[in-house]
Amino acid sequence: MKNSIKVFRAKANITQEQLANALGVYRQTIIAIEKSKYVPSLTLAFKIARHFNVNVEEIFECEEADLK
Amino acid sequence: MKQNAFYILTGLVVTALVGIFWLSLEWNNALPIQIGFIIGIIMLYLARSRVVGIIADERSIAISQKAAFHTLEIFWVVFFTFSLGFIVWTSSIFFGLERTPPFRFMREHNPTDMEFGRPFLNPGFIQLLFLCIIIFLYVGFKFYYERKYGGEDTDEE
Repeated sequence: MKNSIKVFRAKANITQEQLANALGVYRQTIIAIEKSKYVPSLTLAFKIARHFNVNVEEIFECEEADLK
Repeated sequence: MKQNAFYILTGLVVTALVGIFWLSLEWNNALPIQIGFIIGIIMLYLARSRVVGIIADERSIAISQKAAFHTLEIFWVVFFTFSLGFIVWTSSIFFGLERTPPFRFMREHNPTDMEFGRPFLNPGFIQLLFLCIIIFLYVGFKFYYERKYGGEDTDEE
């Protein structure tokens, strides 16, 4: 599961720590999601999208391999 | 309750339990330490739920769940194997069979009434040893999943 949190974060000019605090998670979770090592729950994915005022699909991209 | 207050309370409960354990040994009565241990653990669980400042982070919860599940997967096999062995050693008579324990020490002593100095053949000690091993196993699994789910703290790019 690819994502563009880093891009949106850069556009919004906020740090991982600030995003983590806003979402109520640890900074390590943001790092893991950005590196695509951890797939967030639907709730957290929607929270992230809502934080940047975009749709979930604009941040998270499902690859063919994820669906197999 | 602040996190430091919780740690102080944990220390007090553990100290009290050590004292109660000693009293139980002196009185030769298991009830005080058994009841004390359950009350102590309930107190700590209640206190932990009142600690402020801990974020219920979904990734850390997922890691804990995975580590606990795999620890349980391994531990129940080990514990079940030990329990089966102990039943065979001690309960042949119960099943109407002649009792011939495999070890000389067990043939000469009642395994549930072992003398001081050979406590490590006592099932209580072996179970405690297993419980200690569980903690190491759990921490090992947590460490593994922390790495797998990319928790390493890197500098902001």
